[in-house]
Amino acid sequence: MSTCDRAQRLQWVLARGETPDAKLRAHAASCSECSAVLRAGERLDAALERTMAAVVTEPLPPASALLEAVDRPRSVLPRVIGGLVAAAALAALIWGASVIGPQLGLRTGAGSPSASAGASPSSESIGSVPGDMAAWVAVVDTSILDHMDRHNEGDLALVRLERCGDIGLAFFADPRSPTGYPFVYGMGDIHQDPAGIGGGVAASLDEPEAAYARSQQPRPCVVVFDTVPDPDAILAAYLAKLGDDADQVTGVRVLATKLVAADVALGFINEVRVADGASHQQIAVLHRDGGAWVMRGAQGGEYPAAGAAVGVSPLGVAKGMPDDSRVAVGLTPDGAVAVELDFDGFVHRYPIDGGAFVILLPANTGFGMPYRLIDATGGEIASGLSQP
Amino acid sequence: MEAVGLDRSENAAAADATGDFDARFALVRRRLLAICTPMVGPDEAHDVVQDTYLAARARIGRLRDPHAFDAWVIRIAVNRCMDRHRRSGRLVALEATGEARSRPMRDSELRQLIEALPPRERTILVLHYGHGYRLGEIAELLSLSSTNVRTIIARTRHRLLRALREAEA
Repeated sequence: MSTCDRAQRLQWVLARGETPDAKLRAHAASCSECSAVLRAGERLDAALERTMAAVVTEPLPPASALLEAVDRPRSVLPRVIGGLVAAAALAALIWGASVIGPQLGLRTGAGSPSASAGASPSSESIGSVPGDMAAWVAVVDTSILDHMDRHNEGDLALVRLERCGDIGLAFFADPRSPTGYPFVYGMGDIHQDPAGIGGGVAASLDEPEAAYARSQQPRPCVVVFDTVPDPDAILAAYLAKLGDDADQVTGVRVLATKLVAADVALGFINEVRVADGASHQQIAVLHRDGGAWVMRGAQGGEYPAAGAAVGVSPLGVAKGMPDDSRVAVGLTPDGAVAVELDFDGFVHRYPIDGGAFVILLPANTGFGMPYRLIDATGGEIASGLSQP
Repeated sequence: MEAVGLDRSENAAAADATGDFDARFALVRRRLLAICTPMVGPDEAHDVVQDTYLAARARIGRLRDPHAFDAWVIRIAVNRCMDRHRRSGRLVALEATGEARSRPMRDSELRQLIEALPPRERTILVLHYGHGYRLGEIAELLSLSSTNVRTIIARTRHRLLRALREAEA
């Protein structure tokens, strides 16, 4: 267990290949944990060189030779069209400039959203940027653009903002990303200059990386601003997809939604089948089409009952996901504000709102992961192993 | 979307290229194995080379510069190494052995940790540290963003650092 809150920051500095500044070095000189991190960093650099020299027995040609060895160009639609579609979808989704003002509080209870003014009808904003974080968020936005060498190429859009004590975690959507997962983030002390050592770093980030970053914070992280697909919009898309089969189900309810890319969402849905009168759950994959969500596919399963366990299911490319992903779902008892999943060597903590969750996981995540449900005090409500 | 069809002279050239394709590929096969082994391991490397053969054979008629054949198949092979991460099984957790040490981790132990990395991370690490490719070059070669490559390297280094520290704690 780390005893110094600067050790993790130092470790990430070294991981990024950066040189710790004088202040951090001075601290490390008197901190046994941080000096051990510094030594490990020096050993890693030297060991990587030696190890690679040993394993690489066949040199590659210069990179330029590989990059010039291309196929004859094909006659295809201009790539710019895909980018324009993505940008238009993002513009419809995102609220625009930072909302500055007193924190309005999080949505409580599923299906009772508090949409902020100006939000797209197919999305909603939860909360707002707290006054003491507004300046930091604005500077992080600029810092990320600088880091990405994207000057004068349009703004990023704040999608989610979390606060872990004095540490902020700001997620921005990048409409120009070619990968379909446009989130980039800045993390750091909100009272410090983001360009400084304590201010954070811009990096493209997937959800497990974000979860790891949260788990390393000394104080629990709270989502103060979020943009999620509107449950009513997801419900409409689900019912539209059912079409004539809609009369076979009643009481369809969207339990939880998750935005996994600017134009891809997950919906965790409960419905009562007329045939057997029993509740069944579905995980729906939705894509944005113009200003509305359209359901691409859904997958049913024996998902865990309330408060019992976490269920993990593969989704796969066939369900409209860009790769072979897995998803974790669960219904949680009152008071659960976060779920922790232990995989990939780390404990990942995800916020919960509304008594249910749906979380996108990497493709090779196991089915049986240790989990904990956490309340607002950080105490454990339940724990166990997730089920396939 | 397929290109509007090749004209007859190009079809003839494509047939000639295919005719000696097997011979040309045989000359570069051993080299491909040696390049791919550090990226995906010896067993996967054989599969990658076979995948590369099939992919290159299907596309040989589209090679822009026949003199760049070797570089072209190498590029296909490196991308196939990256693609293994979508097909590989359960992620192997990057952990030290758990035994306490009173000495720094040996290079052979670090090598084992690197070999336990998923193919994507391992391929990028080998390209950068083993072959000296810059981040932008790796990004363009693998059709990733530079930011993505930078993050993958940072995350992988962070894992290795953590393992180094835990092993020597």
